[in-house]
Amino acid sequence: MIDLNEANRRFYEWLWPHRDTVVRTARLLLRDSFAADDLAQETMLKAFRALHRFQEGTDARAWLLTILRNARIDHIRSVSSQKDDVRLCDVSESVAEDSNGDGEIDPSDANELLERLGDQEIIDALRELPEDIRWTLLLVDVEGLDQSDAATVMNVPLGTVKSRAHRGRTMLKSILEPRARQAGLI
Amino acid sequence: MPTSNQDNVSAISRRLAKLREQPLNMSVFDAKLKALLPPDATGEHLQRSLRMRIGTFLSPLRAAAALLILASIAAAYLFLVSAQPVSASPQEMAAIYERAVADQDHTMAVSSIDEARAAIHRKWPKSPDFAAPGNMSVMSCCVHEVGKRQLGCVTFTVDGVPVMLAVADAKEICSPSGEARMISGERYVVASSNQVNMVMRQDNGVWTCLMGRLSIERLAEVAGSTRAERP
Repeated sequence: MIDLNEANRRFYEWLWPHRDTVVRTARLLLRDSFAADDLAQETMLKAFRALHRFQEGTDARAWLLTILRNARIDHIRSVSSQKDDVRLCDVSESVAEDSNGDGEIDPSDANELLERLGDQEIIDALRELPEDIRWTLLLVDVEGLDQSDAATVMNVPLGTVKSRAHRGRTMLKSILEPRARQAGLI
Repeated sequence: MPTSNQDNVSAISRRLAKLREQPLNMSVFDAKLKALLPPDATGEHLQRSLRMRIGTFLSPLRAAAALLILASIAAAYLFLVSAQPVSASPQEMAAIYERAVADQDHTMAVSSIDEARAAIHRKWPKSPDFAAPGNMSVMSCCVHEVGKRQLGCVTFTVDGVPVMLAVADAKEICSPSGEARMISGERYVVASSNQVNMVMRQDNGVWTCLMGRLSIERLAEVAGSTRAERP
C-alpha cells in the first residue's frame, strides 16, 4: 500500500501529464461538453484511486483511456438517457455500406478537401458514427495509439479494431462528402 | 485522375490526427479536479508546503545572507575609502607647519637628516626613507596624522627661513587638486595657505611636500635636491 504522498507523487508524475488526452477524447466522444468534462474528471479520480494497480513504465495514456472507456460504459449502463449517444450505432451502418465504392471526391486531392472542412465539421461527422467505431477512430487516428493498444483499451481483438478503423474512416468519408458538396467545396 | 477510396480513407485518418492539435482549455477542468483530489494529493499543496518548509528554513538564512551582504558592502566601501589616499589640504599642511616651527607639537630635536630619519622611523617603522642636502640646518622632526594617515615631518632652515619637509606613503596621502607646475624638469603641485607656500610631488611611491615662507621656485629648487623612496 502506498501512502498519500507517494500516491500524489506518482499521480502528478505519471498521469497528470496525460489528462489532456482524457479530456480531448471525452469531448470528442460526447456532444455535451459538461458531460464530457464530468466523464474525464471521473476518469482521473478513478485513476488516482486505482494508482496502486498502475505499473510504472507501462503506457499511462492507454491506461487512462481504458479507465475512460470503462467509465463511459458504466455510465451508459446506469443512465438510460444516455442512449442518445449509443443510438448512433444504427444510423451510419447503412451509410457505411453505401460508401464502399471508389472515391468520388473531386478535387482529387482528398487531403486538400479535408483541410477545407473545419475541425467542427469533422467532429460533428465523427459524433454521428456508432460509438464503438467512434472510439476506434479516436484511439487510433486522433490519439495515434497502436491498433494493438487500442484493442487492449477497448477489450476487443486486434482484427476488430482494424475492421472498425477501416469502416469508420469509410463512413466518415461518406458523411463528409455530401457536406462538402453542399458547401460547394467539391 | 480520380482519387482511390483507399487514398480518401487515409486522408481522413490524417485529418483526424490533426484534431489532436486543437488547443484545449484545461484551466477549469484542472481547477475542478484539484478541488476533488485529496488535499494532500494535490501537487500544489505539496509544493506549497514544501515552499513553506523551505521558506521557514530559509528565512533566518535570508536574513543572515542579507546582513552578510550589507556587511560586505560596508566593508568593501570602507576598504575602498581607506584604500583611497587622503588629499592633503593646504590649510591643514600650513597648520602643521606652523605648529612644527613653533615647536608646539611633540617634535623631536634632531641635528641632521639622518637623525631625523631614524627618529621618525622609530615612531613610524614603515615611514619612507628620505634624504636631503647635508648642509641643511635641521631643527626637529615629528610624526603627524592627516586623516588617520601618518606623515613624517622634518623642519630645517633654508636661507634662514624655517622649512618643513613632509613625507608620506603616496598610497595614503596625495596632493590636493591644484596648480601643477613644471619646475626644473620636475612636476609639482603648488599651493599656498596663510602665506606658507608648498610644492608637492610624488616620486618612487612617496608623497613629499616642502613648505615654508619662501618662493615656490626656491622651495622647488630645494625639493629638487631631496629624494624619498618607500622602505
